[in-house]
Amino acid sequence: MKMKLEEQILDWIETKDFDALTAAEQEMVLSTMTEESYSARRSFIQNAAHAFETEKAFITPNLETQHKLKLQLRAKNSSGKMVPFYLRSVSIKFYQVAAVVLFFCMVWWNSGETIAPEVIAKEKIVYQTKVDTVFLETKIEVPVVQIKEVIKYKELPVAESTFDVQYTSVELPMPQEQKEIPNLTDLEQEIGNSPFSNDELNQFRRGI
Amino acid sequence: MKRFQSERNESAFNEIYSRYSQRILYFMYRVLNGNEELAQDLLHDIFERIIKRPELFDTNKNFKTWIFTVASNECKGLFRKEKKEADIEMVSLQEFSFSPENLHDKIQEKQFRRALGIALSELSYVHRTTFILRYQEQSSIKEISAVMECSEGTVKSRTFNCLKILAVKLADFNPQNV
Repeated sequence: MKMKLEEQILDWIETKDFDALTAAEQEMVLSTMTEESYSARRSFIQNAAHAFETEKAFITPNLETQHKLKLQLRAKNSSGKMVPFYLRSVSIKFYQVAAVVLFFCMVWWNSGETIAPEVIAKEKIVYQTKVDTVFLETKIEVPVVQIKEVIKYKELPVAESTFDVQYTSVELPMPQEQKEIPNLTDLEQEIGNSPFSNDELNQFRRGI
Repeated sequence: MKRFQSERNESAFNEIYSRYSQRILYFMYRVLNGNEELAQDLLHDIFERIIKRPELFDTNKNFKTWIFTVASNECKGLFRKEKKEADIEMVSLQEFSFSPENLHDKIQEKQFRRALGIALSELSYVHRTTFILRYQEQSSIKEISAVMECSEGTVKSRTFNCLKILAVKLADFNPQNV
């Protein structure tokens, strides 16, 4: 309640002289302060406002400040000309930038190129040397021709199988020393080294 | 500001600068207890931010409220960082001699301004900023509540308390008391 009254009195101090207040308003004011206090506060507000206004004229911004700011603005505008006009009003939120960066990191991570690419590169080299030791054999199938010797027998009648045989006598050169012609019986006795006698052996002879 | 956001041309920036630079500068000058050099630096920083990142401003909101909120936060951050108070001479209000017949003289007026600056510097940051926004910038209670990020009731309460304290401290400058 007191707060409300103070707020109300403040409004009156700022806008009305004490004499301009109604009797009821004056009564309310007098319940909290004297008429002199009311007038003193009102007068103070007016004097302070006047003092502020007077003093304000002496406090002016430096001309150098405005000049510097203009140069900064020109520099900013010249650097911003590269940006298309429809993008100048576009502002990107921090979380959007963070999300995009995170997305690219995840894509890069999943692509297999990890943080330690050198290790993986070495591992790959090891595998490559193993591959080099493998011998590749290529089979070439060549068709083999089997050669068979086929002997064909032809049966012919005997009459047809007779050959014309011509005998020619060849005279052998005569030896310079003629050997003595051995006796047949001697030859017969000389056959083999058997202990049996010829008579005993003759029984096995045929056609004699 | 909407035009500057879409076109980013120099004329739009010049319009913003001419409309708000002095108001922001003087607001920060008062909040920073008369440290003009620091206020000039902060003014440059605020407008530099507008050039670099104009998209920070929500076009559905009030630009005046937004830029004063930025300025207020800059000052608040500076206070937290440095805990540096009052560039002006911290002299007692009793040092000022008051002569009612010369109240409206320029010398007397200057003395009042100086006394007002000292009295404001003795207030807390939130009370000082609230008072400056209300009586220097003529901001509405709603605008101040948006800048200070508090309820309208809190703004009114702070203003009422400021008025109470300052009126007592600067009572000697009130001709009605004589």
